[in-house]
Formats: sequence, C-alpha cells, structure tokens
Amino acid sequence: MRPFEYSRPATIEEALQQRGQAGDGASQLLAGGTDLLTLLKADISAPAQLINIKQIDEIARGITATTTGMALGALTTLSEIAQNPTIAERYPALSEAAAVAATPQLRNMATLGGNLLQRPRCWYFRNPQFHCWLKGGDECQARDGENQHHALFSEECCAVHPSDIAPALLALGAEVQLRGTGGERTLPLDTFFALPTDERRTETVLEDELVLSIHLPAFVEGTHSTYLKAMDRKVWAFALVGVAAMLRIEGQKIADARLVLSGVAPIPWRAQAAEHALIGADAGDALFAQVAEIALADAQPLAQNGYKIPLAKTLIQRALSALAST
Amino acid sequence: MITGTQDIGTGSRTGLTQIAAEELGLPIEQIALSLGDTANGPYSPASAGSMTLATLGPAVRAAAADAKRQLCQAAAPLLEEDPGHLTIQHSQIMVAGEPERTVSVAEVCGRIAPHMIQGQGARGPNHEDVSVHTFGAQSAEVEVDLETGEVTLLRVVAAHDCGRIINPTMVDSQVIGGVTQGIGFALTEERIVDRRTGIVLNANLEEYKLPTVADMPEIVHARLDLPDLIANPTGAKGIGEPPIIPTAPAIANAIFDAIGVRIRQLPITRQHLIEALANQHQQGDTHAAI
Repeated sequence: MRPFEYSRPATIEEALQQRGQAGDGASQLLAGGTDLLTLLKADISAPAQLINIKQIDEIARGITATTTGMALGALTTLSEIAQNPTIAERYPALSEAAAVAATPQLRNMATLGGNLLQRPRCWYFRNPQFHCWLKGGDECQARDGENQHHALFSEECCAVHPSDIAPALLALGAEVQLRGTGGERTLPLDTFFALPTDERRTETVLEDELVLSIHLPAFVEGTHSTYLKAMDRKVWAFALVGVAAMLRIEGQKIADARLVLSGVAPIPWRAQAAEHALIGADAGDALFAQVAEIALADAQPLAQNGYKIPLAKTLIQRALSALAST
Repeated sequence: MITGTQDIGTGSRTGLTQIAAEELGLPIEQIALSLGDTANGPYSPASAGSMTLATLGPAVRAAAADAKRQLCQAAAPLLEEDPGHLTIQHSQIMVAGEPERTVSVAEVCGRIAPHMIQGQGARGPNHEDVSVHTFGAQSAEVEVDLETGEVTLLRVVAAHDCGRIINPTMVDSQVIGGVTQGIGFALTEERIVDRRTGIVLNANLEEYKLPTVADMPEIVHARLDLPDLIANPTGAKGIGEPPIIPTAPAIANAIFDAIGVRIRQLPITRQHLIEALANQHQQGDTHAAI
C-alpha cells in the first residue's frame, strides 16, 4: 500500500472541493472501505488522497419512507437493509440480496453507495501482475484464460459485476441520486450502470460525483420480488449467477415484470426481451421456461463458463415460479 | 518430562503428559513438560506420518516407569518393604494391598536430596513380522440439486481404528478437523493457476474458498478405542492424518450414488457437476464421467 493523504471533510461541498484540488483520479472516497481497502492493498487503486465521507451529515444514512416510495441513504449499511422490516415486506428482492451478500462482518461495514461502486472481482483485474484492459491495458487476459467465473454477455471486459444489491435494485426500478460540482442529478439505475468503453473503463457513468441516495418507487399492491443466488459455497461468495425478479400479476395476466441477472455481465444484466415476453402473458411454468430461453438467447459463453447458461435458466424459472405462486 | 519432539497442533503435548502422569501415579498438573527443543532433551523423530504418539508414547511410558521404579526403590527403606511391592497412586507411594502404609512422592524426593531421580526411556523398532497401520472408513450423505449443481452435505460418519484412544476429546477433534478439511478438498478448495503465465490467481481467502460453518454437515465420530498391544505397549496408533483421507472419496461416491455421475476431479464445483450432468444427459449414459 502506498502512502496517501487522509481527510475528513464536514460537507459535500468540501469533499467535492478536495476531489477537485487533488486532480483527476488522484483521490478516492472512503465509506465502508470493504472494497477500497482490498484495491489499495493490491495496488489496483493508488490514490494520493483518501477522503472519508462517513461523517458528512448531508449524506443520508438509513431508510425512510417518502411520498414516492422509499429513500435509502448512500451510507446505509447492507445489514441495515437486510434487517429493515418494510424492505422485507415490500421489496423482498432487496432484502434477500442484502442478506446473502458477503458476511455479517462485511455487511456491517459495507455501505449501499460503495456496494454500487465496487469494482469487479475478476482475478486478472485484482492481480497487480496483469495489466488488463479494465486497468488501461490492451488485452483482457480472462477472455482466453481462467474464465469459469466470467461473463456470458460482454464486450471488451468479461469480468462480472459483483453486487447482489444492484440487480435487486434494478428489478425494483430504483433510481440513484448523485451530486457533483455542477449540482444534483437523478438517474435510473439502468442508465447509471453501463458497459465499460474504451474511454470510460468503469462500470458506471459516475463522473466527479458522490452517490447520495437510492430511491425505490412506491410499492404497488400485488407486486412480488425475489433474489436467488448460486454460489460455490453456502455463504460468503460472489454470485456465480444471481437472479432478481419482480412480478405483478393481475388475475392470470402479468401486469408488470422485471428480470435482472448478476454474475453474467460486467454490469447487472437486465433481460429486457424476457421482460417483454412476460408482460401481458398468462403466468405459468411453460411461459417461464420460454422466458428463461429468451433471457439467455444471446449469451456468448467463454471456454469455461458455459455452465452458467443452464444455471441461469433454472434460477430464472424458479424465481418466477415462486413469485407466481405467492 | 523432556523430549525433543514437538506438538504441531495435534495434541502430542497433552497425550504424552497424560501417559507420563498415569504411569507415575501423579496428577497431570504436576507434570512439567519441555518439548520442541532438541537442545534440552533427547532427539525424537519428526512429527510426520501420523506417528508422534505411537512413537513417543511408549518411550515416555518407559521413562516414567524407570523413574517410578527408582522412586519405589528410594521409598523402600522408609516403608520397610521390598520395592517390588510398592506402587504409586495419587502422588503417594504405597505398599500394594496395604493402602495405610504410604509415603508421599514429595517426601521421598526431599529425603534423597541432593540426589535426583531421572528416568529414561526409549522405544525400540516395531516387531519384524507385523506391520502397524491405522484403518478407517467414512461415509457421507449428500443432497444434489440436479439443475443447479448445488451439493448439500447432510452427514459424514467417520470410524477410525487408531488403537487405544488416549484422549477422547482430542481424537474427536482430530477426526472432525480432518473431515472438515476433507470437505474443503472435496467441494470448495482449488488453487486456480493462469495456464499461460503460471501465476496463481486466487492466492487470497476471498477466492480460495475454504468451507465455512454453513458448509458443514453433521460430523459423527464413531469412536472405536481398540487397544493394539502388538503395535506398542500403549496400544495407541496414529490419528493425525487418517481422518482427512477418506472424506473426499466418500463424498464423491455419495454424489455418484445420488445422481449416477462419476466425478473424478476435485473440487466438485457447480461447474463440474452441471457439465457432467449435461454430458450424462447427452450420452444417455448413467455412468458418464468427466
């Protein structure tokens, strides 16, 4: 780990100022630190300045009901999300995702904002001996390397997004509120996450901004959601494949649906074609099997990760079946 | 008790002290043990091959018996008795069959000062016409999700003939610990190496997956406790490594029994199981192997 300056600004304004003074890419924001610390230790991130934002009162911590749904402050911990009874009742996908993420110790430290911004766990990205594409290099070593944990849907980078929370939030139609020197903006999480490009080798469109909060839309009666996760051990592992699903059924017909996969792409992967096939159709296992096929139709497996296709299909069918029968 | 052997976490310290205490008729807390330093005492073999207790136990017992014999000899004039009729129990040297005629070990040692009693013992080679082995068997009960490749271990039962059980709690621990490591070997632990560069990709506890408490089934140690007095005078054989050996094969066999697919590669991950099941499905062969 390299030496760095450490600061504890009292306001967002001050934090943004310090970022500006430090210059491009020279500072990092510190909240829970559960991802940042591992990046610092592996020398993947080497900021000259570390800006602790935990004591900034303007960044909300905790979960509150709003006129339009629920607001979750960026500094809310995963434990707080997992234990919140309203989230469990109305947005179970989020509650379940928070409960199966990492370990109790990590969930007590890790914040919601940091969870959305965590970097991939790809072992080529995390290893300082490889200068991979995502770190500014020319080549993705995973594409022809050890890629059993890697993406089914990818362009240059085939790492998978590690978050369980993000796909659940996407399935629930969440928005993210950001604040930069130019003011605040609110984005659907759909557009906040974007496949890394040559010019922007990150998983989000975040600029020099802070994540302030996440907003969940108002709960519509009859909406059910769930998150299923396949891991290589019973707990404390990133998803091989995860499925966040939301369904609202009126009579027999599916009035609304969202389907988002984790562990299959560099960002939480929304299966929009599958959603279209669901909406307006009659709920049933035959439909769900068909939808699972649609969701994986464009998958491009690498040498070692083909098993993720049947795994994802199974989880999709199980998630939808479970929701349809509640 | 002074010996050059060591305790690498398997409990030699406790087991050897127990043997000395029992032989000497002294409470275990009165045995001071120096081990792990060959500058202090006699050399002993390395702790390897699950042999420490079976090798050092008889030597410790012989040394304790030598010290006991000398103590009885020193006590004989005080008790006006033939040393052959004396024994030691609860730190008292007593005439066999006449428990009221006693003198304490402490008093005898005080009286003979500055003379000191030093017992020595060694262990000879094994009998030429027998070969000493620890035997064991384990069985595993698993549940396999045919669609997601998830393996849930329900129970592992381990029975090992390690001769006399010197310390039941420690042997339970050794067996449960071995099975636990075997479960990691079978289901989760894998060193991932980049084939082009030889760089280990998961040299950390995040990606090198040790099994967690949630991965543990019920582990039953079926204690046998069969003293093998041909092996050595303590009747104890080794139990260091044996419990780790049969676990992975037992789990792989249980998986085969459950789903009819023989997996010959460890760890048995979801990737391997889903691939093997797909293979089996394609070939319509119930004995497909990867």
